[in-house]
Amino acid sequence: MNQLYLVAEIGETQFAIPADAVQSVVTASDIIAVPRAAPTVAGIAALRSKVITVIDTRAAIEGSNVRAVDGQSLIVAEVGGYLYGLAVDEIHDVREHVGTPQKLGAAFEPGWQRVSTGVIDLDGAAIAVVDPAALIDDDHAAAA
Amino acid sequence: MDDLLAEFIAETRETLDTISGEIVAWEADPADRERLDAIFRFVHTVKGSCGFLDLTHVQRVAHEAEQALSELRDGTREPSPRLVSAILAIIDRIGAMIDALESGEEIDESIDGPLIAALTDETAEAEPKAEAQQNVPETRYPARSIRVPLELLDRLMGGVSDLVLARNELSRQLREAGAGEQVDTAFERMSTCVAEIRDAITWARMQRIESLFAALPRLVRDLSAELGKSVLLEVDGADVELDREMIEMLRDPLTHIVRNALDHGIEPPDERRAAGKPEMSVLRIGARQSGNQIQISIADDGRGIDAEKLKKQALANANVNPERLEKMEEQQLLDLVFEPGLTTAEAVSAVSGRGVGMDVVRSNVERIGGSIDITSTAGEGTCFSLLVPLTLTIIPALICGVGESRYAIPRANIAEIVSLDRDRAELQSVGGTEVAKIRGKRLPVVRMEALFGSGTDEGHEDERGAPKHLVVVHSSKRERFAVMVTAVFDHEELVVKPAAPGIMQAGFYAGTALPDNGMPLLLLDIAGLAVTAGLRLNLADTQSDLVEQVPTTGSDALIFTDLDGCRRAVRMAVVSRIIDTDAERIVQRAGSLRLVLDDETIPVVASGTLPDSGKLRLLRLSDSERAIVYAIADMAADVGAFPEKIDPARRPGRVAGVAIVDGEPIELLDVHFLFAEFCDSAPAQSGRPRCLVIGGDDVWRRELLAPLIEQAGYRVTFDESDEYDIVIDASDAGESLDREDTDIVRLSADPSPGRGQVYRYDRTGIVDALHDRRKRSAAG
Repeated sequence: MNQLYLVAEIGETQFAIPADAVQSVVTASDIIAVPRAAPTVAGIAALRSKVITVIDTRAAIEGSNVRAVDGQSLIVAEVGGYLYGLAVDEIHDVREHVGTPQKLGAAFEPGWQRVSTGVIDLDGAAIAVVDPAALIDDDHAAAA
Repeated sequence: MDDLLAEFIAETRETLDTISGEIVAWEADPADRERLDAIFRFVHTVKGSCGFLDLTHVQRVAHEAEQALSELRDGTREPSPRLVSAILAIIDRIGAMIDALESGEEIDESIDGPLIAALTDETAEAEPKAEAQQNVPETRYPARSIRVPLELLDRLMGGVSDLVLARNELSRQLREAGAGEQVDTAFERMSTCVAEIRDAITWARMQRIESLFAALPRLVRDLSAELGKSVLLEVDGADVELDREMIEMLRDPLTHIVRNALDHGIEPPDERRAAGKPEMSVLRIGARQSGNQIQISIADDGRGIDAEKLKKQALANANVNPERLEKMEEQQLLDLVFEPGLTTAEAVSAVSGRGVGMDVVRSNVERIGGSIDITSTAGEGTCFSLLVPLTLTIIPALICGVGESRYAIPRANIAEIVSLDRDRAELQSVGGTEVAKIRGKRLPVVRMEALFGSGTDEGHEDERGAPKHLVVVHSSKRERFAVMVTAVFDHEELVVKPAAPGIMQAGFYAGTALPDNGMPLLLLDIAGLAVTAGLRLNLADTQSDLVEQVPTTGSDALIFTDLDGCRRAVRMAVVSRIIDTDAERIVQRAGSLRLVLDDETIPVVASGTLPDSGKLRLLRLSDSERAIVYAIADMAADVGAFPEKIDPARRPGRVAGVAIVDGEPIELLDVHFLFAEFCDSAPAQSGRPRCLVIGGDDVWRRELLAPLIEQAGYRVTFDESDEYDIVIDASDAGESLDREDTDIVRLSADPSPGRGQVYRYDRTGIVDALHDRRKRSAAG
């Protein structure tokens, strides 16, 4: 099975998102903070005539403090009828991968275990595939 | 009824189109059960709808076909080719009759006899199919309505919002480039088109509230039969229109209230008889539009709500402080029905009173930006009134600043804005909660910064220095509190979209919006804010403390410093918003000063010299059709009560009179004069007859009489040297009249006026008299 993946990076870690889940990639600007929102919500931003909810991907996975920086890249994906922008440090490339993702090894940290659906091998490196919906599911994120 | 018929026609034609394929397939294989079922369902639906719409003939034809089809389904009859074609002929015939219905033609009933006969008599040598087809008109009448999925409308709305943003961007660029008058004109035309499309799409989402009310007669009939009560349902205002989505959101709350009214509100017949009431009770449901809100009232003439019983219930429930309960007045006790877990029902019945109570109804109504109120008189009945916005999509809002951020508060929730740095309000601490004392009335205060958790120690230092405003809001008629913000910016109409769950979980956001500047905004949910700040149950007692001291005030006034340094005021109701703009945006065009905005130019009135550069604050005044802007000097303007006593100016002009506000003389702007003088006159105006108003109290004749005359289609003048067609004398009855003219309409302050006079509050009388004099003077 051939599948296109968008490869992005947070911190030093690379991960992949199935390309058909991604609507577009934009550069974050004017992120407006939303007080008392879920711990993964970095704020809201404008995408043409729409308002998107910016998720700090790192906070959602690793449970770090939420912060949104203008100039970060936002991966725009629709989950549950709402548009989200997943803030990442860097966007690498769109890559094709043949075959289904492997199951995640136990070596992965709990945060990654939660949001990831498997691992794909790109150029010899194992990269976790992240499901945007799991990333946004804030019930679990709060516990992480 | 016409709407229902059109709906029926559209629906039937639509299904006809979709099942035409099924019919062909069924003809090829009459044993195909699935296709047979589809055709049966269609015929059955048509029959049912026709019965409802009283189309007896179509109903009879459909009934015959249904009969035959049902026999086929049961297997009591075999689908012979002749029977199949007889059924198909009838379906074609239904299509033809639908066409005839739409075009209003007579349905020729004579040809249906053989068609029906062919169903039962398989040996009949009829050629029904051919015959029926002759009757299908050659030209199909185009449908006057189409069904469109809501998502498509949403997409259109989104597209138009994009268009508006693009237009604003273009407008900025054009201004910077100075494109010249021709480009400006073309751009303005485009702007008008965009605005029109935006309106049209908003209206496309509107639906008559009828569709919400349509289910009620059945509900009331079934329930009253079940409960053994006799109830007369009166529905009023079914033609009021509101957003489709809104109608869906109101369905559950309305059903719940109606169920409650029938179950608990209305007494059984014997109890009614004993109370000396007619056995037949009346449930009145009405809708009406007021401004951009819809009011829905549900009133029964039942036993009413016993406030004492509620109190006992609340005490037993223990989630309400007993001391507080003792202090509550009756109305506050009534409001307890909206508290969770309270019901006056003694027994849980099958109909209602199962714990899903009015608290759910209230939160459902509040979620859509509405409010709910209850009034009840023991023994006489209960009335719930719901106030909801016309649409969920466009909400007029006030933009406020909290620290560095901006938030929007729905206009409908705002009672007034009080600036703290002018000693108009005093902050006090009462029992651990902060309250603001405004004109002798205490209101709990919500500090937005603290609530948002951005109030660090350092932040508090900043806060003290920053100018603060209190936005007094109400989430229902009686629930008022003040929201402390650091700045008040602008009024704007916002297209509001639901926010993601991760944002909504905060509990006090109503949605997100993208205003014209392209920076996203969060709209605050005032009711949610009250709950989050823990105000809800505290409100009643903090307010009752000083409630008697509240001065009875009329409308509000906006008090400001004018360009010439004078303190002036204007009625709040005519100020549509405050605009901060660059001085460069004001240009001299077409012989007057005009403010260039994104999609319009507005005449500017300045009572002093306008600065050439820098920022400028303007009041946008609107008479609901046209607008002018009034330049003011101060960057801050206050809202206060409109003074009750006004000393009128000696001659008409920009100032209508003077009043004392807080020991300071304040001049009141004569908005009517400003509009007459500065507004672009509509072309239609020049053809209108002119009416001269003489005598009378200046405020009265300008504020009350003049609008009435204008509404009746006349122009008004107060200047005797002007040309005029008719004269209206507003001076009181007893005063000597120096005009002998019998063509004068004379007004009187006496409700039973003397001969040749009209009572000054008799609207129709005045208008009729004007029209009458006008005809006479035209004839003479």
